[in-house]
Amino acid sequence: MVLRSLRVGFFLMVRYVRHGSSWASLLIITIMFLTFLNVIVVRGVLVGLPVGASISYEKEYSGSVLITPLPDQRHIDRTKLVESTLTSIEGYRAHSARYLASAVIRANYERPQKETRLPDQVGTAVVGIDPLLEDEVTGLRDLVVEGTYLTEHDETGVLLGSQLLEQYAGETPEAGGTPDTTGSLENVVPGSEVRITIGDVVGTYTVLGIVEGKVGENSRRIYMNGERLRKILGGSIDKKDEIAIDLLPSTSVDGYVAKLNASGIGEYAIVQSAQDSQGQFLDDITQTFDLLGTGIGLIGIVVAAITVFIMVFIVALNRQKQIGILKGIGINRLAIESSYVFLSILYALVGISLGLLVLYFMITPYITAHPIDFPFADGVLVAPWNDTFVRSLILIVTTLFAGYIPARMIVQKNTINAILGR
Amino acid sequence: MEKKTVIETKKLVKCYMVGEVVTRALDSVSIRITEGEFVAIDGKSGSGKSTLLHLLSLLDKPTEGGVFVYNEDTSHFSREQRVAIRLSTFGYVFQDYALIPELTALENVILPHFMLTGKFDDCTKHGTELLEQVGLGNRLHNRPSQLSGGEQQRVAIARALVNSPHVLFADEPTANLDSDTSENILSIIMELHAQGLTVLMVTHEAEYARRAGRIVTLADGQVVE
Repeated sequence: MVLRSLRVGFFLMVRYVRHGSSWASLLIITIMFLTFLNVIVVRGVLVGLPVGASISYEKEYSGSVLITPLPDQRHIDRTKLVESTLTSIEGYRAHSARYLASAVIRANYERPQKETRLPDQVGTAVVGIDPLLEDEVTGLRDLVVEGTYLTEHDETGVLLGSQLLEQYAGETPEAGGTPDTTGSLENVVPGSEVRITIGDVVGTYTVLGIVEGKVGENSRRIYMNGERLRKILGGSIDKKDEIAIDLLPSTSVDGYVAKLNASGIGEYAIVQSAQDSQGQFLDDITQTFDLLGTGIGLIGIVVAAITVFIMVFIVALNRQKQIGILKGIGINRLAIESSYVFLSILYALVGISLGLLVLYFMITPYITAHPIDFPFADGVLVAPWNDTFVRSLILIVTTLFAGYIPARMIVQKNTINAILGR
Repeated sequence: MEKKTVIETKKLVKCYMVGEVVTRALDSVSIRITEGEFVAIDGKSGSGKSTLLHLLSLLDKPTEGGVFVYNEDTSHFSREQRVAIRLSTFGYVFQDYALIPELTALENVILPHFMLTGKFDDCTKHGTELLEQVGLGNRLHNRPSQLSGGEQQRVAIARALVNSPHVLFADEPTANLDSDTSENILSIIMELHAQGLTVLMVTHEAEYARRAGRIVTLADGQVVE
């Protein structure tokens, strides 16, 4: 009997759709479509912000795996051993080992000083790289927005992060004592000369290019040849400070990290996946944005549910007499109610299907090709299939109830009163 | 041999609340309908004819008294049981045809049969035969809005007959029709009765009522003859 009732309900639904108001159907389908986009895309963009930041971090800074000194060490001990080990593990593609040091960079040092004005200088970090390897791992060359990239023969040339420069950062050193790390230098362009103090060594360098990326570290650093920096620091070639490793696309990052640690590298350095090296903060903010997106999506679902409820209620109310007639000629409650439930599900399915088409064939490819340009990340759209499926299911179930409740309310009415419109 | 009682009412009372005033639409009505009878219920407007038909056909519940179908008291029947009886045992022709506008003539007719059997193909065949019997074989796929009043009423009769009911209820089936069409509808009903169907017809037309085997006349909610 239940199956028969459902078949009759489906039969009625098809006729309602075929001969009912196409405008009402179009309106509900549009609402379902927009709700779907609201539920999936808003959340996807919000989560896409930290995820985009994370992708940028991996792409422009850490590589797939980042090796850093142990907490009680200043450098990575036995860097040569570490490097030879990491290259021998399956999945390795390239790596860049870096020297790091604190530095103070000063520009416009030949300008006459006024008493009220502080020297145009900024405290920052200087990183010594192999230009070719660094480009291989992080694509640093592509981040040069002005001037030229560093070559391995540049002894006095440097690259400056854009946030060290006033024209990019939009601020100047504030009046105060020590060089600050948030200020910026005035009128520095490729070709300008800057004075960089590393430890006790002061040198004059030519700015070759300006680096601007999505990762804060990149945009607030000075880049120079690694060998040059090592000589300035007087350090050992076997004590580098940071190694970014790029893996082949199909390689399991966690598997690679595990193999590296198993080889004993963990005794000399901390080996972390890009994800882990970003710390808990990014996970927290991803979760927060996810929650925020879900909250906004939930509001969308509630609004859609109310709209479907109202629409189905109005449709059922307008068909009150017909519902009475159906009951009068022996069509049972389940058949009548299910016709409206099927109708709601159909609206939801059509709206969601349209949403899926637009999402996966228009919005996602477009955002992938043209990421949303946020200052700290290339905003991507995070809409994995499984998550989309679950959210679509929630939307369908909500719509189902939003269609069922008003239909039930009308069907409950006394048969003869419904027929006579009392 | 005494004929089987199909429907019987005992001291049937139906009250309505009109504002704060209780109106007694039916007052202690007791009647008995036997198998194969053609009973006309007549009376003036507001006498309770339609109310009685609604109660007899289990479309409504009495305030007091009982309706017995094949000697079974229906007062304790659930809503679904009443619907099931209307589906399988009763056929109902409404005054204003009461067709579903989104369905074609054929779909309107087969709907109760589809509900009863669940077999769509059989339903279509059966429905087509019935519509051909009432002279609408060429209007199967027309929707109610494309049919005349008489045609709609014939569709309604075909729908009422689709599940081979034991009793046909007709609530002023000719009320909205011209005299020729009314005659046509009435002749169909008379023919069905001649084939053995029990018919209860509400009418305020004395001429039509006289064609029934028995007339139950109501006045102020009571049976007067």
